[in-house]
Amino acid sequence: MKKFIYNCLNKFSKFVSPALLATVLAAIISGILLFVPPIHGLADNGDFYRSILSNGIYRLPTSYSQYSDFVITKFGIMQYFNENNVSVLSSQTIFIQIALLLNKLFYSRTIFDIRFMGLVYYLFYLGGIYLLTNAFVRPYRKVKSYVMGLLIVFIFADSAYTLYFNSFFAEPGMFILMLYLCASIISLARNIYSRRWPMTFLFFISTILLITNKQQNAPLALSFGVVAIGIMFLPHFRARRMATALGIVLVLMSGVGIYKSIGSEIVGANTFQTFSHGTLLETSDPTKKIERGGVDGQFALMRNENYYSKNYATLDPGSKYVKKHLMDKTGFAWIVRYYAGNLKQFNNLLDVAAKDVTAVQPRAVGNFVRNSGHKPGEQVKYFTVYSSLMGAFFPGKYAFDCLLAIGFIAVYSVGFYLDIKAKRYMGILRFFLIFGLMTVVVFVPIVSIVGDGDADLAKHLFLVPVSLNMSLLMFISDLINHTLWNTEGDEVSE
Amino acid sequence: MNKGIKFSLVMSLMLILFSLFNFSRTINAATNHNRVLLVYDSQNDVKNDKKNIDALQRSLTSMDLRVKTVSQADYKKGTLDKKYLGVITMINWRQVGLINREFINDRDKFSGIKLHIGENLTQTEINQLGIKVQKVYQQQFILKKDSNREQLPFSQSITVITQQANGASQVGTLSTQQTDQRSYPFGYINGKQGYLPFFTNKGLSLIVQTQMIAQLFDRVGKFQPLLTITNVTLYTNLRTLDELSKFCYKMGIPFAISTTSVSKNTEMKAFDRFTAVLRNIENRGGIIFLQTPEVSSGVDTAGQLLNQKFLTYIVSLARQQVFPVGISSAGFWNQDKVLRNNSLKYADHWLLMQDGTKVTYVNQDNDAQIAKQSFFAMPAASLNDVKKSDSTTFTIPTALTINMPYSQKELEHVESEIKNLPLNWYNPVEDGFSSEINTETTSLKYNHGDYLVNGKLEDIQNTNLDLNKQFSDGKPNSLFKDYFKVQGNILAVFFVIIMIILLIFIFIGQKVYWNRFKR
Repeated sequence: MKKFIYNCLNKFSKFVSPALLATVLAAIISGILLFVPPIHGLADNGDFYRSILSNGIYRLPTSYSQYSDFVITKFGIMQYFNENNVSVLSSQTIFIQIALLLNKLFYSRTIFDIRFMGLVYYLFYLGGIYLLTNAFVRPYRKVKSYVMGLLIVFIFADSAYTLYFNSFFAEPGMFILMLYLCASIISLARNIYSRRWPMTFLFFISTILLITNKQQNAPLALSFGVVAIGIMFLPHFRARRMATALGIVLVLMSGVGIYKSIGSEIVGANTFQTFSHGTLLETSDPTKKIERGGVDGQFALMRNENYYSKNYATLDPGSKYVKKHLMDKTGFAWIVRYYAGNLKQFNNLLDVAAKDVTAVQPRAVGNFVRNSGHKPGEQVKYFTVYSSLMGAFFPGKYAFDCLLAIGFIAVYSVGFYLDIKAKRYMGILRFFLIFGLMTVVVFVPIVSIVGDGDADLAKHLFLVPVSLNMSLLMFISDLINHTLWNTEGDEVSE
Repeated sequence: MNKGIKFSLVMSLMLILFSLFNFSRTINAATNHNRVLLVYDSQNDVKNDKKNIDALQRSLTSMDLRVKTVSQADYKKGTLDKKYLGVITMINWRQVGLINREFINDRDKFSGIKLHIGENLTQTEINQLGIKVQKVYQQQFILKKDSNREQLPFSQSITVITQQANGASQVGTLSTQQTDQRSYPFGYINGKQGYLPFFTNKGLSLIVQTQMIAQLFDRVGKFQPLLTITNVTLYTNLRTLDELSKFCYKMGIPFAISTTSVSKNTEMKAFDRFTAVLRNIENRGGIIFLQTPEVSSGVDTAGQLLNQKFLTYIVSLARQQVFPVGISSAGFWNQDKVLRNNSLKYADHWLLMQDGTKVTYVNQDNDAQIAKQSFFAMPAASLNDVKKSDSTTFTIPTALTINMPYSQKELEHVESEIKNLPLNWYNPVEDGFSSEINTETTSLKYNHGDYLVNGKLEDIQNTNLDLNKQFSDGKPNSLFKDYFKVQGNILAVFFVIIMIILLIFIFIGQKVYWNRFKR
């Protein structure tokens, strides 16, 4: 009997690699969620217009509100000249244009179905899952390799992530590109493929696309620049080291470029919300505090106001008056000085951010389509075990995140040190990847709070949980493969 | 006994008759005594004639006329009937003019009051007005009324009256600037027919126009202007506002302010300060109009959000003894069902201001309603060229507005501006201003300077006039604050000592350990 099971497993492992298993499982789990009617996705929180209008897609007129409550499946495709110039520069456009092309080929030239958007992301996503699992387990096909594959599915096929695919948010692109980015570095580190240039190329492409995916990603150019340093340590690579350096420069330039493309309108909105959703929060009565900073204390009454007010505003934040008496005074330097003088408040805000790290599935918008028998704004519970667990048990303290980062970096710096001495590269690449991911974990909350307060915080922090989960997976895979500090083992496979 | 029965019979009969008469009169009033239909050809956005339509609508509201506004394209046959007291035709774009035949037919048949504004008079209208007209091109006119003169902007073309009917009256005169100085009537009234060559939203022209319209509709009154400080918000420089109200008080000038409020964060010190300054204003004889917020989007289709906001505004202000006497808003709020019903409707006194650059409707119905009294707001500066004296009055309730200054310099400028207005201002206390705001939860009344909240007379606390003191930190000093502070310090010192001892032990221990191997 035992032998029979062993034989079966043996045969199974011959035909189905861990990566294939993970991909098929992810395909089934997320495929049901995204494509089996009634489909699921994310409703519009009012941000969709930024990405759809410049791509020639518009909302079809309806008698009901298309915001927040239900997922809207059908959009219109503009037939004539699109006068909306590209309002926001983003690599998201690439994904949307592919979806548009497929939609026009197979469905309609006038109506856009959100499922084509989902399909594009779905295909890229499955590729990412395959590459990632491969990077973690190859060349082994042991039981522990399959466990690793299942773990990847458990974490990264969570509906909290895949729900984003059926939406016009930029986050799914970020998620998928992050999969490719990490998969390429880990593949290089573990010498999965005989040739290095495809993975190096993949890394730079996905990094640049990731940074240019959303303007808030501009500071991440530094984090991923750090990750790219690891590639410089690859052996027999002298000729291509220049190319790598060029790649790093490109990554940094893409960060600067996307930063420069931020329009004055968005700068105004961010300046205002940093104030109303940041400096005025997590403190009893900010009136006196801001007055000490030289701003009229009356502006404390703007607490929790949005720049784009949803219904009525006492005073339009976009008005000249607010600009002159508030926003011209509260620039970046003012914010930094304010928080430096109110460290406790800043720490509280960072804790708010830390609590939002696990809120991957946005709570403000519904996941179901209209007439599917669900309440407006209802959330999907299907395959959200991991994100729910994280939400329930992950400590919402910024200090904990920092400790975790220090821990990860400390653990991987041992491998880094050993490899530098032994002139190997696996530990070095891994270290720089972990280091880069941890800078995301530590600095993105700070940048978000300083840059836009707690407005849209959970979405601004989207890459933090992805980075944490990726590091966790790497840690577990190194434990399973016994390669945490012993990096010799892998070189055997070369 | 017999006499008594007879007397009571006669009395009751008289009562019944009187009430019947009264009843029929009220019905009449509801049906056609105050309803006016305004039909315009186009809004002519290039020239921004929307502003003129808005000014006309507001002035009619101030005359207690309920104006229903229709674009000629939306006019349906038979709309204009007996339920209307009058009809106003407004031509903004002469190249388009009136093309809706059904309206023209209905108007020709209509027997009520008719006013034509602008060019493109039809032959029927000319006959009914009993005039002869002439088109004059490329002219710059001077408008004269009594001893006032105003130079009008250059006009491409204008239709002037060259011959009037017997018994007609005119309001104001237009004269050319050439040497021969020809002059024509400006506002022209012949019985129930009226004609205005144009309508603008400022200056002497606006005053003459409203006078003419009031005359045509028999609504001429005598009103002293109300000095109103507008654009007051919670983010205004409160010191300046306090100074300004003190200035008016010392000069003996009664005034009003139009201010917005917030529905959130009312527990903050910033809100306390704001209401403290408003209380000072009340104590200095100023009255407060609660201004409507800005409409950012039309999502509030049921008006619940706005309704909730207004209830909170009024309750949170009243809690701080700030009692608005009326509601102020941009004119378009009265043209929108949701906006009007959830804000203006609470008050019986309105102050309607010019539409700003941003006009967002929630549910536009263009069916303006009226209040007990609506002030027509116009910038005081727009009357700079009009002669004023302490006997100047306006034909409709008018608020002359001055923008809230910010800096000391601006304040001084505004103070001298007010000083230089030789007007006899409307005084809410002496002139018997009496108003009400009623919401589901609160009833605020103002009567001759007295404030009543839910029927109870309120004595407004005189707030500390020393603003410096008011703006002080005023942190409550808790009993244990110092204790905790000392305790914290002691603990910190304690831990530092323990750390040092620990470090010493580690150092000694390490030495002892190494010594074992050293030998």
